[in-house]
Amino acid sequence: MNNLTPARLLRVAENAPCNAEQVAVLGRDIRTSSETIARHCVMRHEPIYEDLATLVESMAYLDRLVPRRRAAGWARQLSIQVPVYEHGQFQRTVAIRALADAAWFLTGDLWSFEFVARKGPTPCRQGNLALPHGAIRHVIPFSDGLDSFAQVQLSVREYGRDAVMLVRSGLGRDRLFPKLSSLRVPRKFSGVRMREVSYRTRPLVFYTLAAIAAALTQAEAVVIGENGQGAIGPACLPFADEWGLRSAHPAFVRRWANFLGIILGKPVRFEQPQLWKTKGEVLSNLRAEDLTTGWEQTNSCSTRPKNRYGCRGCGICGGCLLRTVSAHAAGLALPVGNNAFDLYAREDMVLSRHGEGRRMTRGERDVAVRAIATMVEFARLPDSSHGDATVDLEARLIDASNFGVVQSKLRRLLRQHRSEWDSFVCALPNRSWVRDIVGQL
Amino acid sequence: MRDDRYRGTSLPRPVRKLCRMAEREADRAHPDRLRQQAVAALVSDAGGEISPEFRRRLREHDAAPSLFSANDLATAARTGLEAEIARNINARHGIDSMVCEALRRRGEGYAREQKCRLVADRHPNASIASESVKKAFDDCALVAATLILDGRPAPRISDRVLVSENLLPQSRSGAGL
Repeated sequence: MNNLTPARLLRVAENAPCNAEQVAVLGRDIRTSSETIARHCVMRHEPIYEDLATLVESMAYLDRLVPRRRAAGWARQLSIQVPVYEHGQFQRTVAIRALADAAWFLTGDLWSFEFVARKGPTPCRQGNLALPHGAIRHVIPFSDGLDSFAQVQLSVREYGRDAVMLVRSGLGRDRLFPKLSSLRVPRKFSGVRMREVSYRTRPLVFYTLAAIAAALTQAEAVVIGENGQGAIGPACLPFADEWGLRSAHPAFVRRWANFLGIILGKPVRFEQPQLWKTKGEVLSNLRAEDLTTGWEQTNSCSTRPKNRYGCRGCGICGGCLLRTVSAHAAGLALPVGNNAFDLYAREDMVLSRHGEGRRMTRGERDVAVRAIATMVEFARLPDSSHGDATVDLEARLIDASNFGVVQSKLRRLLRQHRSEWDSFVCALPNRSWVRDIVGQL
Repeated sequence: MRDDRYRGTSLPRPVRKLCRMAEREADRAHPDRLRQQAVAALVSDAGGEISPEFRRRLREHDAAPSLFSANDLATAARTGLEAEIARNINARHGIDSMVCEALRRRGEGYAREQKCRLVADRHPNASIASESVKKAFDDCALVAATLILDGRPAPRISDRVLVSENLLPQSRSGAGL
């Protein structure tokens, strides 16, 4: 095979070496530590947790460091050497195999791992205080997005405020749930320019940090609030030769839970209660339970802040589009001026910071067309010539032993998506830029 | 027609050529040329994405399906195309139809990418061009699968235009649809 993008071995080291190898230094280039989690939980901080945090952050670092040569193929060959305290635990064939399989399934790259003994002092054990054992039931990776917001609201309604713990990245102020137990893990890469934008390893880090928090607090489960459209949809409709996006795909979550279980020596439970619902259904559910307060403060936009023109979202990326469609389905109104581009407008205009209107750029139109195409194709999937084959393949991937049940759930999800999408398109003005694009797709 | 439309995209060179051909009415009038180019694109993809080891596993599975299970094949799959072929093992019977279906899906991905690019560019024939590409991939997938499994290269395509050739479009709707 010659389409694999080769990359030099990335050596993760405790100290900066003198030679010119490709090295990422812990504490300098990779600055996440599970010690923050243990300190927050005031629980025993085991070296194995530090090892897991080091491993996933190193994988994320390498994933962002090596750019894909897209015109030559998607896959890269990524080799990584990671220092770990629990060398014997990670070096086992079963663990390496499970890790490589999950990483491959998520990113589409060929990963190889080498573990070396970590020489530095082991993390200090903390005292057992503060959070009572067994009080936390759900640990929720919280992204400031609508799905995780909904999941927190539903879990709090079911089990109470003290039973829910949020795991977030960064040190920002918690605007939405200031009274909940919220763990903010500072993350930062430095040293070199991160050139790869696909960043498929992102969920590895969040799920692992959440799993560490769950293990430390003896929580029942890590609960991922992603809806079915986001978890399964992108994998059904890849563009060109890209690897299907599977950040919350149940087949990936199962693989990662398997690896974590092997390393931690006990099962780690992940739950995806919203998997067979559309985002519109999740929002409708919230509305029915009177839990929508604060939903408009969440953020679904995946573009950089400068592309949002001072608004909360750009309005045209996949995340913003799904949010608008779902809000429509749930009968919720988006606040005026929430998005830079208005999907209900006749013209694809945006107001600059100085108040001047201008048309969408070529790049922005590209983003909008892709987002709309994904929604349109997912809605048309049940009726398309390849729809049955796609549904069958996905159902088998999700749970081959329960094929019939998964297949019918997936079909229902697709029908519901189509109903919400059609209803949104009907609500657009007769002459609108979104309707024009839909007509061409 | 813009020559740089697909520059910087994730489309491989042979696919870009096919996409440019599909934009031209004169080429759409000759669907056989589009198919030839689609075969070249798919065989080129397979050359880079299907390893000799995976080919061997495929042949083993074909020779004795009961001896070499779906799991063996799935375990050997590493690249996108291999994984797609392995996923078809339960649904399809012969290996040529497994490979054919994987190639069709790959072709759909390329057509999807092209269509978005054309719609973003407000191309007047976005749908016609991308449907031509999709049809070319659909029609040639089985031929490409046979070549790939036999380890043969794609037939060479001559770009030369014959003096006697009629380059005018053959029908108003755009042939090849």
